[in-house]
Amino acid sequence: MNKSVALILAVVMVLGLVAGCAQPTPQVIDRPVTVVVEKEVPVEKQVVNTVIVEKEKVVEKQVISTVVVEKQVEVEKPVTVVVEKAVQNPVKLVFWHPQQPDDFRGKLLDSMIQEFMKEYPWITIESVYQGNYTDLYKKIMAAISAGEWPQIAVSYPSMIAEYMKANEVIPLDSYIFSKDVGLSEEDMKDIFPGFLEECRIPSFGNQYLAWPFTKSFLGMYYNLTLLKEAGFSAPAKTWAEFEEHCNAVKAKTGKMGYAFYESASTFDGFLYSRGVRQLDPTETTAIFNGPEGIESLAMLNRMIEKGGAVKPEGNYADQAEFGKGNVAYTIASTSGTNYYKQAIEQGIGAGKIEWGQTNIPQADPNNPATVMYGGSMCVFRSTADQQLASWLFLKWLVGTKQTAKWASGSGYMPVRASAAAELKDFFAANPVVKEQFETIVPYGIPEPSVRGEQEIRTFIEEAWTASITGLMTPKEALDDAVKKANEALARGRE
Amino acid sequence: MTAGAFLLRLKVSNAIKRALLYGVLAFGAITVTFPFAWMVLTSFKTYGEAIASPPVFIPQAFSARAQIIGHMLASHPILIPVLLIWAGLGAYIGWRLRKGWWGALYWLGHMLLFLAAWKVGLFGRALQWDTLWAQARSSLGYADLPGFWQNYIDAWARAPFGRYFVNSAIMCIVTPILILATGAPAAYAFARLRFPGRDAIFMIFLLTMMIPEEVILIPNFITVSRLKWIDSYRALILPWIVNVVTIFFLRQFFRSIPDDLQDAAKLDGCGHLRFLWSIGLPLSVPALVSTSLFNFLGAWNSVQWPLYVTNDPNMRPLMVGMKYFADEAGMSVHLHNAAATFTTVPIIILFLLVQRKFIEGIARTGLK
Repeated sequence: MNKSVALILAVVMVLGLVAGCAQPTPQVIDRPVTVVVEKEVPVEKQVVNTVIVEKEKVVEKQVISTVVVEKQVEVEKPVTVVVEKAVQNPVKLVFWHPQQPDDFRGKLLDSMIQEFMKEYPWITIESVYQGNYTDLYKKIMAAISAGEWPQIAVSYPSMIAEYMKANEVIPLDSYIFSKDVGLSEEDMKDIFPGFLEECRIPSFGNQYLAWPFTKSFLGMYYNLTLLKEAGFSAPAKTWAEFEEHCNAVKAKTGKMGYAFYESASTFDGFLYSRGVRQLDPTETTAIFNGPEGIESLAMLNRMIEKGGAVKPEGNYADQAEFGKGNVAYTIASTSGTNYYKQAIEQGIGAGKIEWGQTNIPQADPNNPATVMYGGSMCVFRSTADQQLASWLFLKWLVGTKQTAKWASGSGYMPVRASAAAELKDFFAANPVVKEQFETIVPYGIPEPSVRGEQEIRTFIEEAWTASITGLMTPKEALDDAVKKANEALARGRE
Repeated sequence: MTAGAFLLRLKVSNAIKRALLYGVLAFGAITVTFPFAWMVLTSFKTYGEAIASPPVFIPQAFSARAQIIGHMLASHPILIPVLLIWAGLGAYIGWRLRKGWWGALYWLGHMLLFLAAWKVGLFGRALQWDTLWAQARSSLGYADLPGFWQNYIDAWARAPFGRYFVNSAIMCIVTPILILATGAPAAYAFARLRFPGRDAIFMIFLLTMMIPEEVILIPNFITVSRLKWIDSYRALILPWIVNVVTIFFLRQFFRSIPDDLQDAAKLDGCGHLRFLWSIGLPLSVPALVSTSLFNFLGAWNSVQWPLYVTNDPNMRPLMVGMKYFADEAGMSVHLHNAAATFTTVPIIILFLLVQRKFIEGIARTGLK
């Protein structure tokens, strides 16, 4: 097909859109729609110049921006799409994130951005480090007040819910499900369902307001050498086994079974693995004081009494003790693997213990669940071209190759199952990561992203402390926390 | 009671009092210096040592090197008397030269000179430092001992600290100067001029001290953003050039200047500005130094505001770099402490240079 045919197709598309929008819904008027038409052009061996045509037309309040991209196909090779030349004015995106620019993650992210810009030369991304997640959140809130937000930012979904107060984060649904620039059904199936679930925020109509990026999970680090000393050949799969293992480790070796510290995410893990959640499905009522929550804290109390569970004093003390070979189990994020590795190398010594990280124990091991956390991307309202370019960047980052590259270099988990093939060599060199990918990642469930959640996390940790110190029974502590949590949720809805 | 017994009792009671006083002071000094000493010690630890529980006090970087040197000396016993004589000589010179800390410092330098002479090969081929060091290291099992300054090298490489130092220096020099430029006339007016509503206005000024910084961050950010000052020194400095604490502090100082002095100056034809410039400010040097040091510290430690108003890494100050050592999964505690040490050193040097004026300023205004 030649250029003129492409142009005709484009015009037909525009007319079709105009006709389709004769009675626009409020949503359509609100948001610019961008459509990309791709055509296949056979060429010989070498990829040659590509022509892209763009037209803009204003219909009522709606901007329709059409991009026609000629797709080039090498005759004797599989179909490849190459966009070489910008059709429109170059698009610049500002991307705010918490990856320190001079460490390994920041450098990797910047190199991937360069790679993306090579593939999409009409898009320029300015990558800006803005401190940690809290700093970044505060700056975005200030930037929203000043009307100067970036095009893309990394944040926790609960923070994105806060940005939505100003209604400046755009839903990604129209891009994700676009026939032209969206993801195929296979792609969507390939992405782990927990990631997608987290990106849809219930309090905003379950729209996709986020997109997975720096993902990690709650898992259980285990010292198999110590477990074998206590007479067990594999890490615990159920909570009953876990309790038995921890108490036996203490009794037979004198070392610690489970080294813990109070953490709302770990408590969420206790709940998820027992088949319940922190909040009800509408995220309006706290329900973590059910029998499962009470049993979680009661189990800890029983273990503390028998010496099977210990809270070592000091920051990262659980990790330090694990590194010295003094602990059988800790429950922590997959993203801490490098720190654990260092703690072991500088503690008991590399290779001196057999260790790994697997999923946390479960009530029903055939139906496992754990906590998924970490940052997601969100796209802020901007021009139609910028929004499209932002989406293309987000989509590119979850490509199989890209997510595998990001995971292998950053310590975060890949977001799709097909990354396993790309990561074969990496997994061979890093068996702990392979185990995490296989036993933890597919079962991640996000934590609530509702306003008030940050307060609720504090109430949970306070209840945990009150329970283990004997100030309250597990039931009293959780009932009290739920009461406060419901008040916080009510305040969040005001 | 005989006079001798009375004197003895008095002496004993004075000695007890003195011991108690010194005990309390020593406790205070240790309490204050402990966190700093801990920071410096941690900056030489490995990650494992830094997070160890129970805590490790002396890092392997020190203990291993001390063992290695001990081993080197033991392998060539001739060196021990030489070292002892040299140490004794140093102690004697240090004692004769100047007593107290300077003598101790001299002794330290004297001993380092010994090590330097050994290291450059002045003791002959048989006692070559590098060879002996390598032998002792491998025989003690410290073959993979990290470099002594490794944490500092790694920490420095984590962020563009060179650029950050420059930016912090600019902020820390310009901000206190501009604060004095606005604060001194204001303080003078509140202290020495009589005008209607003076005290009420001053109270309103003081009330602004009650507003938390977080509350004014967003309005300030919006202003700076609309003025298009993002990524500029103007944004980093100008919003902070009026400081109520400085005005209050200087006002107290100016009030202590005797009226007679001003009357005499008036008789000589001296106006308010001239009096402030030629008499008020020169008399207030300790107060100016104290407030400037506080403001210097404020600018040096600022992190939230600079993060708000800068996107360009080249415009960010030092404390932003301190954020580079932690992520959501943990913190490189050892590197963080190394960075904390090299960012604190300039402050300590500055304090040592101006400490007399600083303490005088604090004492005279009655502030603590």
